[in-house]
Amino acid sequence: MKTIKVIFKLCLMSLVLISCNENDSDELKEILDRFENGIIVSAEGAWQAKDGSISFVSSDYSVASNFVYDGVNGAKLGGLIQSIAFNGENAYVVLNDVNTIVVMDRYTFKKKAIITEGLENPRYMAFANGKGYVTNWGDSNVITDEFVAVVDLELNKVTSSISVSNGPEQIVSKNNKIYVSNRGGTGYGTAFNNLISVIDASTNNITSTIEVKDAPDDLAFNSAGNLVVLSQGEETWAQDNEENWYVARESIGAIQTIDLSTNTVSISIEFADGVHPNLLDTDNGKIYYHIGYSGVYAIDEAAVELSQNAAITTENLYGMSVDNDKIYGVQYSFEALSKLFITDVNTSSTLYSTAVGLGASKVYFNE
Amino acid sequence: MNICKTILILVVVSVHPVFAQQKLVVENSLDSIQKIKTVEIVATKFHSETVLGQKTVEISEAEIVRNTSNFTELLRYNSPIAFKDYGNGGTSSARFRGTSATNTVVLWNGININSVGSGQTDFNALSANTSDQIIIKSGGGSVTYGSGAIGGTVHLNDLLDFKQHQDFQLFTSYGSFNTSSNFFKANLGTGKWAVKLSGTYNSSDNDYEYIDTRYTDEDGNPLFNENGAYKNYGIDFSVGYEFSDVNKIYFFTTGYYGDRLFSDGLPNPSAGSERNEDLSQRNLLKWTAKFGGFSQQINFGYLTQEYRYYNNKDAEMYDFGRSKRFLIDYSLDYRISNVWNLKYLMLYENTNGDTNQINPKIREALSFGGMVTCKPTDSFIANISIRNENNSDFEVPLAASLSVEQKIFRSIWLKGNLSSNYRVPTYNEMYWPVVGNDALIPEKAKQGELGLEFDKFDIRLNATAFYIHIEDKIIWKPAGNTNLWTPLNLKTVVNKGAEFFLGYDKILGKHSIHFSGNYTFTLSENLDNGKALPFAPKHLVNYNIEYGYDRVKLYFQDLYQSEVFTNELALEFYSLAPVRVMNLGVDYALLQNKDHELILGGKVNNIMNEVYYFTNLRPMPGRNNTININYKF
Repeated sequence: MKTIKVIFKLCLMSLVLISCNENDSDELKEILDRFENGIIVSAEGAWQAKDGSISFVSSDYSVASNFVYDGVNGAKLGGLIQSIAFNGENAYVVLNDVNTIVVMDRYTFKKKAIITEGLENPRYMAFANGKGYVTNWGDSNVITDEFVAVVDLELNKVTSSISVSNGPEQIVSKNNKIYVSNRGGTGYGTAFNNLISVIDASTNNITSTIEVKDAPDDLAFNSAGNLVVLSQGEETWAQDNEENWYVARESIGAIQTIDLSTNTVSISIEFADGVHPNLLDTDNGKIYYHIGYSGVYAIDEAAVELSQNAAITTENLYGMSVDNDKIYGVQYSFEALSKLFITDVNTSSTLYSTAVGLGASKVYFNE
Repeated sequence: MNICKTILILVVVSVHPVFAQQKLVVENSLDSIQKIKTVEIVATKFHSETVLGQKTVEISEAEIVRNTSNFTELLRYNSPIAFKDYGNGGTSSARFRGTSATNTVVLWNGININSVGSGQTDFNALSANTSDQIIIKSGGGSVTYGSGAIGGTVHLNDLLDFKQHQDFQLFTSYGSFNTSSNFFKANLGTGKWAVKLSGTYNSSDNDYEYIDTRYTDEDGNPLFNENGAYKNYGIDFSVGYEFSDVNKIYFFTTGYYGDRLFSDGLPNPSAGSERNEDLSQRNLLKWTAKFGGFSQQINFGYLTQEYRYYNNKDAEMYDFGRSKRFLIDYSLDYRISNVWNLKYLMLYENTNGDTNQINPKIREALSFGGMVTCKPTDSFIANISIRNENNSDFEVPLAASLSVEQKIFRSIWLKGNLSSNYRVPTYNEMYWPVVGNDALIPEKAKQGELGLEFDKFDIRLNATAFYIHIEDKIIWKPAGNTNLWTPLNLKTVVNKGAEFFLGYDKILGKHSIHFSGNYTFTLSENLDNGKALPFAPKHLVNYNIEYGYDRVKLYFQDLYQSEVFTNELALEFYSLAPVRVMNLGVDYALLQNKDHELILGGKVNNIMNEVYYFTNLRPMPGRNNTININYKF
């Protein structure tokens, strides 16, 4: 009897000792009063794991902090972070898988509100005429239920929705107009789309649609204030009778500039067959775009041809922003922490790199 | 440090009452235990003798009726297995000794019932309430149970008893969130015939409040587990006929239908829209005969299984996966002498599976095995077994096992086992459109365990150290530069640790005490990067303690799981906090005589109203209640 008592006690004691020897993990979690003058990196997290996270890196690189929303609020955002949109003092974190937008102070990261109704598969958000506009895929296997949700920014509630063409993705605004890229191809085997919708923010009506190449995704304004559209082109795989996979449908990708005074395509640069670009940004009169397994290329805004030489070569690039001749890229990883790197375009030298959250996908500037 | 505090409390709580109350006394439901002892274990496929060299824990009927709402909950409080479930009643998978869900096999009357598609069992998609015997066997067992028996096996058996008897049982419970569990069981024996008929119905609105106050709705109000309701039905029928003492035939059949909604959890439960249906039907015909020193057994099995997954519960469109399995196995046992025993076995299995995205695929497996058991004295037993599987889809490694049991001092036995085991790739891993990888090969495990068992003075104690080395572990990885995840034979993992079980029963006059507890210490490591494996807790403790006086029994259940990581980064952000849950219940025997037993019970689950999670942001219920009636006659 005694022996058993001793054995059982010992095993419980060992439990205490072992647990107390553990080090707290060395994850970076520095909490600042204000997260300003720096960049914000959003990380999707793993699929269905609800572990999206936000990192902050100060402009002088002296502070790099991961999981900052969690650190400030003591709670998780709780979803896959698709994107973040900024308006005034607020940041709107769009959580795709849980149909939620978390509204936080863009400088303190303190949670202010949560929007949980009126969203289905939300993607990106923009602001105009005092309202928020959020693209939604709806059921990703259904191509007729896509919409743009209109958010009352005082109440933080979705008040109405605007039905749009298949696969609404990126959304930007200028001069009280909203521009939506309708890429399509949201679900397995669903059709691709090739339209830019223009919404008048005073009436919430679609005033025109502009045809571009297939699968338009990234949108950016150039220095003249016109809209640059990256179309990825379609690549659809199918299975033959022997269950081998082959490319069943393919169309070309393109970078197209839309003259917003006439809503017509003024410059159209097409990619070669089988080349599908996937990231685009504009900076200092240049357009930057990314081609997988290759690198980031830069062309002049007025260029009518693609560049032959990559500005930087990079692997597994998952997100990119360009500012002041510096490329801020995040490298793809869903098993380890992702990597943020900052590269000077003129010297091709990497100025800084650090580990950021799992599945990092977007870089934003918080001046 | 919080974790230290929790554990210190645990030490105090668990050591104190157990040993302070030793002099008081106990019983468990002796009734059910005695019954089990008198019944032949007809169900185990390849051997009817006791498991050699390894640790088993049996969950009694008395324990079943205390955790009836789902199988996960029952095992959480009574077994050394860790579970990951997607909220209460949601999809649930087992981690046995730190291994993965596909390394735990569930057997129904000796037949592997893991899903053909995923290679796992969803422990919330089957009902065990009507099982007569639930045995948790730790450690490798591919020699006997085939693919996947690496971490351990869970056995659900129906027992048939030919002796003249009639036993009936009715159980019904009702509790918070409109949760109801009900079953009936009838076991009859006429001398020549033995029959069992049982049925179960379980349902719940499962719309509990999320008590984690950090998360609220748009207006600051509490959130609820929306879209979490479930209901399921099960029916079992078994019949046996005894031609003679040595010549018996049995037929077992069972059907199950489960209909569940899958909740979405935090932060936005209103986003939940998924629904899942599970249908399974299993049949087994078994014939056993003895002649001279020989005894033989032949089994014919036919099993079907199907799931239907609705991404949108209101839509008619669903994804499905289904399988039909047919098997024949034959075993011949020859007792050469009192010392030597030989066994030969053969198993043929034909599996036909498909999903809405995978065309029907047939897999055939033919296995041969042999066993030699040697028992020269009453204090020593050794067994060597091998099994060779020929599989139509890949080369399967030889499974081998060496078991030894040696009595070292009075009631103390030393038990040891060395084995090599395997897990074949599943249909999903091989054939899933685009990402499936038909070049996969089976996972291979080499493992060993050494344990001490003590069984005397109303005490049963087992302490077993284990070591498992798994090669070619199949894991899903992002392929190249894309968001497509594909399975690869990548990892080498090691799981090592120790399992402890303590059982104690004592009756003294009108007083009774019962204690049973499990503690598992596990270190799981991916040898490729040195990181801990996800969802494998280092410490897992559960125990049940019961004090009875006359017709009243008071019992307490306690569960502790240390922090688990949700991925291999091993960072605090990607982890779940330690879990501590306590339940308190009372039973009162309204009627207690030879022919009738009527027990009224009440139980408060999660008495401390703790916030706890087994999956990120899918909260489990706060404090909740249940009452039940258990009538045996």
